[in-house]
Amino acid sequence: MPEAGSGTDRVPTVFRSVLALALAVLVWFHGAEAAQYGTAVVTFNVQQISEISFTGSPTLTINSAVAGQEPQPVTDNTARYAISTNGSNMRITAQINKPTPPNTLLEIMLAAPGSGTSAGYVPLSTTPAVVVSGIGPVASGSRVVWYRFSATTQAGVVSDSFTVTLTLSE
Amino acid sequence: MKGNRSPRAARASAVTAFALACSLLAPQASLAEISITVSGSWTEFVDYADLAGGAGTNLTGTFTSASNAVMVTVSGTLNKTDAWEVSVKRIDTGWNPALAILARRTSNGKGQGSVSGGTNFVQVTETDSPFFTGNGNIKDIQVQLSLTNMSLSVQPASYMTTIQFTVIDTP
Repeated sequence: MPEAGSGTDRVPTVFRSVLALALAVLVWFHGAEAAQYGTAVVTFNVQQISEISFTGSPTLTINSAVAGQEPQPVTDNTARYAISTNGSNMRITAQINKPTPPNTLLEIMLAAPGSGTSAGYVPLSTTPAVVVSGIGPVASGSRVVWYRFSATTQAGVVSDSFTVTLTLSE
Repeated sequence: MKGNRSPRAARASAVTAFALACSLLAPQASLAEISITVSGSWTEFVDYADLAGGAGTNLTGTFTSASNAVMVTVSGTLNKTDAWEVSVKRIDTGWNPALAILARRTSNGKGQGSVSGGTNFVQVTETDSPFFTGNGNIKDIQVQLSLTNMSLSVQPASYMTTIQFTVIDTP
């Protein structure tokens, strides 16, 4: 009969659809099991690094002058410094622990450490003075430190020692 | 009689069959669901103490975690011969691309299955790379991490990346 026949024809069609859906479900489940993941977090905290070291204890002695002129300045380039920094636009300042005797001048000059600019000879006093500026990330060792010591005749005969402090900062 | 079934009855049979199929297949799939559990993390602080030789020198370029910084457990296998593969990648969330992360397996874990490969450091990139393989359930596989290319050129900041371990059920 047409109606019964129609119903009979639908069964396999519907079953095929159901089986296809079931297979899809199976594939979906399989897909869900096929890849699972877990995680671990890695964190690196990089701190600001501003390290400087300084070696050398030179003695500068003025003991000559041309007749009719002021005593001749003396220089020394035996001292060295080294720095390591990961900062940007860093600078080095220099100062001494006490004033120099009247009519004397003690100056310092640092070679730039591969980055930054040297200020040339800078008078040393108890107030920090910038000797190198604009330093970027760098590791540089054994850079030259120059000293220049000068005096006028009015200084007379004097002898003194000073502690020089170099500071690396932002 | 079969030939006399109405369309409604056919649909009902189909729905019943579908439900049966789902009820039979779903639990099987669930039982066979392989999974991976990862625990641990690695945090390092880099400061002046990490300079290779004090002022004038660069940072130590390589940092290595504890050998058990990360623990990996693979479970849900059908049996001890059910094979799987673990791959690894990193997902950066504020990372310096100059820094390289490596990983290696430092233990065989515990379980009835076995694990192989991955004992030499492999670089962890932003795409999945095969790490190690195994079969069966294995617990507490130790993983060590390493970071290279650290230098003073890396600006002061906090850098973070997520290491993702993915297990794949293999034939």
